[in-house]
Amino acid sequence: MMKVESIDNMASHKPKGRNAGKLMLMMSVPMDVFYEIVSHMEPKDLLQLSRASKELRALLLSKKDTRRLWVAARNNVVPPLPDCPEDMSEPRYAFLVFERFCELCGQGRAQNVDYAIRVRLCGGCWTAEAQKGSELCKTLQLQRQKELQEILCTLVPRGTRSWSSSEWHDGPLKSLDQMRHHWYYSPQFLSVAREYLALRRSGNQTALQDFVEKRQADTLVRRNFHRTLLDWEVKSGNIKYAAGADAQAERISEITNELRELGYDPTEFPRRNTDWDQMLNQPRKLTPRIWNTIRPKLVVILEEGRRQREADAFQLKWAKRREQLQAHYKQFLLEDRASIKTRTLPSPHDAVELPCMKDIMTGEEPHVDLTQENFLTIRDTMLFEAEEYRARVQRELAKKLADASAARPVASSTLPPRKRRRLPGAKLVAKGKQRASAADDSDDAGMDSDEVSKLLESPSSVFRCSPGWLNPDKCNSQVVMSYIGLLEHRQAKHGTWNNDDIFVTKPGYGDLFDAQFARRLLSSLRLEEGTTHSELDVIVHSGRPQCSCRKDPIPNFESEPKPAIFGRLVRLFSS
Amino acid sequence: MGDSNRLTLVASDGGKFVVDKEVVQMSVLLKNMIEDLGETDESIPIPNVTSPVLTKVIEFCENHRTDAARTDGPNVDGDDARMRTAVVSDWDRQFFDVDQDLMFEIIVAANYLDIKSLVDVGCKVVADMIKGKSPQEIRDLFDIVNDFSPEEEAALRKENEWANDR
Repeated sequence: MMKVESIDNMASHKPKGRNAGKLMLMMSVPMDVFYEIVSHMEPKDLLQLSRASKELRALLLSKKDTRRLWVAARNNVVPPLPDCPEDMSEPRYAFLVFERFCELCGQGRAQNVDYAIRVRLCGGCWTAEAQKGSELCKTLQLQRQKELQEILCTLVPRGTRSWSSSEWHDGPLKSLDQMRHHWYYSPQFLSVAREYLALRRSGNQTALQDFVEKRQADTLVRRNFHRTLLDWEVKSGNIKYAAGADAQAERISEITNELRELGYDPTEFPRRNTDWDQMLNQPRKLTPRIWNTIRPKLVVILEEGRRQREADAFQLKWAKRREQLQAHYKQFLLEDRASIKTRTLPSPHDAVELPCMKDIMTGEEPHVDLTQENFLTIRDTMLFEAEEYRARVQRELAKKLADASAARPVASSTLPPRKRRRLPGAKLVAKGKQRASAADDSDDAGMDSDEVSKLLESPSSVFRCSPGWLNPDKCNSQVVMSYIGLLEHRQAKHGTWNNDDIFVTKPGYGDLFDAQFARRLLSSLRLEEGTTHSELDVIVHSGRPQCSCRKDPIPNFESEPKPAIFGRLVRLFSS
Repeated sequence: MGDSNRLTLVASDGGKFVVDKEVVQMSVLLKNMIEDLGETDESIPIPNVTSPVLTKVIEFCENHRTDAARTDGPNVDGDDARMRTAVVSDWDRQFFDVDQDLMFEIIVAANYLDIKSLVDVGCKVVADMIKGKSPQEIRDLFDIVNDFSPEEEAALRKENEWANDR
């Protein structure tokens, strides 16, 4: 049995992960079994094992028995790694090919490898150590001896400065093509050059000639070895890619079969969905644990796809009657634009989703025309159902106000405490603020309809519509609107109501739109402090607001889009 | 006189197992022993193997009896390489889905009985559990500590530590 040398430290050691201690007995199996297990691994695994502990390192790098392990490991690689050069040990060879550490500074992810020079370096170390042959000869005080320089440049393999030149394309090298302007690994070049110069000084011409011939032959062999290894890297990469592609195809096939059993046909799979692709398109084997993790996520995507397809099919089938119904509804909306109720009805897109509208749309065959008379028969029902829609939207807006007030102070801190007064709704904002923090996920922050109404009617409650740059439904995001203006704007400009498009905003170009500002606005318009948005809206629509300075606050009033008027006033008073 | 095609194996704890001779002969050790003993009714003791382990070993041999001929041939290098790179079948993987005590005992028993296919499969299963792991993951797997100092770890990343290990 193997002796466990590191037992002293085990008391304080706590292994981590679900595999912790799973192969604890590996350290106590007979030596021949240990070596048999290791002989099934690849060189990279042996390198990792030998870095795990001193005992394992000693076992794998002992000079007596372990060479055969490294040879076996090398042959386990597909395609097998070419034989180890005679001037290298098997572990060193494995280190050069499979590790990614810079051999000078130890930094990881060093991709620059030269199998002729036998070195793997990071970019910084290579830049520091690679020099032109002529420069290295200058270091040796040989700048005037061109012939000698040319000889020295053939004694060690040249490298490439940028590592972009791939000489393996050219096949085996027949003769050396190394000149003074080529780049060399300076420690290697200087060491061999000094050896050559020492021999030269000794005057033994035969020994010098033998040295040169041997070095040149070795350099040629090394350069060709470099090409062989680069060729192996390409083949290995292709095999890994193919294996990865096969494993991925197998995973997709297994997932497809599993989903089929759950009742989902491959035709239902999404074509472009990043989350879906990430779960399917990878080579990792599908284990029961992985399947249990990804199944709910895949099902959610598939169910969403089904819902979308059903909605699309419905739209397509009833497209004609839907358009006719929308046209009648738009006509109805134009009948009484002074009425706040009319201006705050749903958009035509949302209106046709009301139950009574859907019923009448699907009440006849798709090719039968839907007339104005048909629409008038459900008009009152539609108005009743629209009330529910309006109430829901108002609750959502009130919640936004409450959430926003939880993030910033309600009243301006610039006024002295004794002068601070509250506008109608400000108290409710504070109340909503408390409730929002208590019940963050509720739809309306716990407010009843009266509270919602009071909060929205407060002149300090304003919104901005901003669907975002990527949304095709974009509009002028700078316009500040009351809730009435916002609903009117959404009715005229947008399709489906989307809560995410709406922002509680600070209007103008700087100051917060707070109670103080709203009070100043009302005062300037000679309106009472308790004036609501609805009252302000009536004033705007019935005539013209009068400013205390007797100047016209809104020139060209008639041509102004109505939902934007409030914003215009705000901008005027904040400037 | 009993069935000449069957033999009785006796585990170290006294458990007896009657097994086809063809199955028993997958073990090179037992095959040689049978050849030395000739025709006999005597039980064959297996002193180093307990009943639970011997049960598993026999299960493996019975499942692989049809490919037993493969192990009878000479062990040339080519065969070794083929066995090392061979994919472990689902049955074999399921067979070794046991706790590590039993798993290593089976491998050690197979090694003792010289059942090459079982040793190969067992070692490959263990090797597959280690493959692709980082040094720290290996330490966790083996429940051992990192006894390298930070300086030693840094040195392992550099060329010199590996250069003279030939």
